[in-house]
Amino acid sequence: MNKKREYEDRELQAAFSSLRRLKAPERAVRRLSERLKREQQGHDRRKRSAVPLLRIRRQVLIAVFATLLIAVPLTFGVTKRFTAGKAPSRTYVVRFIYEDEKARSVHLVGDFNSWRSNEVVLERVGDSKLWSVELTLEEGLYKYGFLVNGTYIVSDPFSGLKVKDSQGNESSLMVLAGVQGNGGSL
Amino acid sequence: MKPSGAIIALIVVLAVPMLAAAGTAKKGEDALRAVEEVYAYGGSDEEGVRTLARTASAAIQSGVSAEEIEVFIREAARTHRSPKEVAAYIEIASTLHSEGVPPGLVFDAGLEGFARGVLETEMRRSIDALQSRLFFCRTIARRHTGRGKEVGSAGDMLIRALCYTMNMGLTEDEIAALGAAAENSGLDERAFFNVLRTSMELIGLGMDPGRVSALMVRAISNGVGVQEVVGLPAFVQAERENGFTDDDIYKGLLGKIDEAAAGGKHPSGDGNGIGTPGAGSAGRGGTSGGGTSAGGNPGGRK
Repeated sequence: MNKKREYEDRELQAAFSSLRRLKAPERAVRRLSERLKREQQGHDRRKRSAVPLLRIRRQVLIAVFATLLIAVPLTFGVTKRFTAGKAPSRTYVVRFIYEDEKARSVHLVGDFNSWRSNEVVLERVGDSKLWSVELTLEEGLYKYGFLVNGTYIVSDPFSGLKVKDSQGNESSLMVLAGVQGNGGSL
Repeated sequence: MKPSGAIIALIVVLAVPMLAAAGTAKKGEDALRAVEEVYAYGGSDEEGVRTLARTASAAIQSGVSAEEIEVFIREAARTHRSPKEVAAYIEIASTLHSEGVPPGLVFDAGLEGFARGVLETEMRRSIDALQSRLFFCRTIARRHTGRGKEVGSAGDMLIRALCYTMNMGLTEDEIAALGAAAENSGLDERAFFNVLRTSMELIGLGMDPGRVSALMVRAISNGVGVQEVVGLPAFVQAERENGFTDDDIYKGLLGKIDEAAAGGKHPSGDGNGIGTPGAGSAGRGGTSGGGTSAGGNPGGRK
């Protein structure tokens, strides 16, 4: 069988060699070689990127996961705690004293407690006519007064700073601030 | 793009909108809480409540503190103020905030008016006047805060000090003169605040506001030290107790300022600790913090 095949191949070759060889058109050859080149390059590229692509996908997944891990708590929970607030300021301990023998109750109202009437109660000092309370307040300027018997607000008789509103109501003014600097120009 | 660059870009693309959404979500939550406060108003003025809700929400979205608005609305509801009235005040506060003026003074004035039961017509007039005054004070304060549009927490105190100094009797012209002198002398906001505080204390001691203004301008222009200036009220008090008249005291003050400017004797002359904050108030008794610098013990920093 093999001998027969070899014989047939030899005969075929002899038959082909007698045929006239035609020259292929240049353009066709060029196009064919370019196509072959492209196919070869595409094959090479696919071969090159297969392994890094897997690596990038893993890195991307890690990056996405890390981002979600940070951003989601910030979105729904931690944001409140980390919202920028006022800068910390100095605090002062202040004692308020009101003198009234006949008063039944005395409350302190002012900017520091939104003028709420039932928050800060002055206590009578023993059997005296003095009422007193101590508060810790932040640095600032505050208007305040004493609400006597739950009915009327008076300014602090011991304070020299008084401000009036357009209706003539008088409040006391308290300035809580340190003096900066030691001598020198203002 | 390199793979590492792509990863960084992806993180930025994902994280930035999420964080922006977080900020917006928080503001939305704050707005919702304020609106809930509003609907706790009750009453039959539904249109008024709707107006108030819209105004409060807009104010919060523009950056006004939701906490301040909540407190304001709660107190207004407690004292049975009309929702439309409250909405008007919040709108003023919002306008001030957008112009770089801390709106706290408007809220404080409103809360005081609620507590005192001031009529709506009077309060509206008063707060409108306060708004104009605050714009003026902001203009003066901006020269010393060095920040352009925004006024920080120290600037907030400066604006309040300007406002209250005017309330105690200084005119706009006098404040402007003080401001100009301070600016020419290069005073920062804290130093200018000290000048205003001393002015208020001197007026509180009964001195004429015009004279106080002149004194302070002289002190600033002559470069008098801060300790000398804040010691002036104690000097006035001491001279009063010695029986001197206001004219004598005024002349004495001018002399002391000139002396201090020339680097002469300490203005107090008696070495009783003038210049120590609150030393002048110790003799008054009563409220140790009232009306002057803190006479109480500083509680230290938080």
